[in-house]
Amino acid sequence: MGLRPLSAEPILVLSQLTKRWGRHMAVDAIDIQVERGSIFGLLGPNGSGKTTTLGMLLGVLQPSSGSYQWDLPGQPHEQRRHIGAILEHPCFYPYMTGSQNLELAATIKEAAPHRIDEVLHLVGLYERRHDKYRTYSLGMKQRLAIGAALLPDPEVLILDEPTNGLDPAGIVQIRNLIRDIGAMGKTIILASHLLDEVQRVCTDFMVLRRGQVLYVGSVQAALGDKDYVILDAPDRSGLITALQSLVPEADIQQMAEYVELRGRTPDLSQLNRLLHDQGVALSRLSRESGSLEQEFLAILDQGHHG
Amino acid sequence: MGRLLRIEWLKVKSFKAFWVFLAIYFIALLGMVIGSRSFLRFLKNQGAEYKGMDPTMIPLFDMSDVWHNVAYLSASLKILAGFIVITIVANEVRNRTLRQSIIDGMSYREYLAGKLLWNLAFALVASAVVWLIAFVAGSIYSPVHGLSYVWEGLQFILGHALIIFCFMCMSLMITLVLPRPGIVIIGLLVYSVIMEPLIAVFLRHYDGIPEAWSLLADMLPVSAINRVVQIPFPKYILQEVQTYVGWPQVLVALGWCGLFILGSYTALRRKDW
Repeated sequence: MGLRPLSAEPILVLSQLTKRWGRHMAVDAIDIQVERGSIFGLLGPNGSGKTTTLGMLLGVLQPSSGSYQWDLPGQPHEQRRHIGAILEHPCFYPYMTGSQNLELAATIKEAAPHRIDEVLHLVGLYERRHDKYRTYSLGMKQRLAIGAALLPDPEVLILDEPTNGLDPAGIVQIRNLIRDIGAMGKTIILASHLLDEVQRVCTDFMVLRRGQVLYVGSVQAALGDKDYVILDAPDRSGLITALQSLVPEADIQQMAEYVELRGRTPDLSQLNRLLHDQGVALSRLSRESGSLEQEFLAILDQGHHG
Repeated sequence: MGRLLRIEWLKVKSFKAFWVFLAIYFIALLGMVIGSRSFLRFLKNQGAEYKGMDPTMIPLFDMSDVWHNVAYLSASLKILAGFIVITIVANEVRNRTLRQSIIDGMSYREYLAGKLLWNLAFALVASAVVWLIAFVAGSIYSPVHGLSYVWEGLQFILGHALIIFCFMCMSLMITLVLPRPGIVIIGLLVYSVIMEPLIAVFLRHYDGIPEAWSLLADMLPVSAINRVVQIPFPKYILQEVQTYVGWPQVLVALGWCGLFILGSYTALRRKDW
């Protein structure tokens, strides 16, 4: 684990970015860069500095020291018009309709008026566009915020817990939306507690704890050698004996309901054939991917002891 | 400029509290002018008189006194204009839409410029209404008429606009520093009506204070703003009053305005939203 090599085309560079409130160090000298076109996950427990970091990048929190640089055209406020962002929770006027709120956002962002109906369709709120924002459910508010973020067809999307309050169908919809936007070459910075979500959509991620960077790198690099094989057979002791002789370099662990095989392993069909030749009939055989959750906990644990 | 005004308009056009305060403001404006004659009649009925003159003989709406009189009376409602600013800005802070505006791509300067343009537009519209009220009252009650009288008192109407604008800027700054509408409204009332007059009395009359300091009493913010259009009524008991809006008063008021704008910008820039 370690810092990722400098990217050829970073869209965002943070240099010693720091935020402290009195004695409390919220963000401690972060030095990272985000590649253009990447989907960058921001992970960390509550109070780790994720939202504070994003707040500084969006100009609403003033850094105590250090700096950040967006590779986008114009002055900082003009650069923010190329960024669609949700910070913490949706912020709209409760007495205005969904459509009026988007009209205001479009005027601020100087987005084309026709985008309002487009994004309302995109986030599934077109039918409720004339209803007051205060009558929306939490999920609808979240979707309106995502709609507002997409108004200017942004080059960068910053989403802070975008699936908060969404039902399972909404979560899938937002996840697909993030993937679709990522596939269009846009850069996405995603802060989330949902590690599964980050693992599914992100290309890179950073782990923060008490304002300090514990890890930054690609998801692939973090999970690349973390695949493992799950096997089971009616004669489990026979299975373990056979495995010890067939793949002596692998790490074999007997779990409650199956046997786990980690390290260098043959492909599944070859393994099945070899075990069959040894007289072991398998009742279960599958290859599982490493989980970001395990990796995240390991990073936090390492940071805790480090 | 058009974009910034449009943004402010979109924010308030369906904001009920704004329309309620606006209605109260204009009803009070009209009521104060109409009520002033009734008040003079009431004083007469109570037996009030000065050297044989009864109060209804005061030519409140005569051309060209009407401009100064109506501008002065209307300027006393500036606190309501301040409440409108406080309500709008505190609402933006509470709903975190000020923060969202910055995230969406407004600079702090643009945000402040939008508010100042809005204050200016409000002050000009309110002053246009005051001009209209004075014109109608003058047309009805004045024994003399004519276009020359219409333009004569325009300086007092512009002075009224400056008073409203300055007070709105002061309210804006205080709300950005402390975005709690209840506290700010009560604080502003207490300061304008009780505290500053007390400070002024202290500066003018306390024995231990050097006499030169009494000049400071006129420089205090609310006093300085009020002095742009001063009380016209003593002239009816043959005392000397302001006959034109003086540049020194305008410059002091503008100086305070500049400080309020600087204070607002500093609060916007330094605070975490």
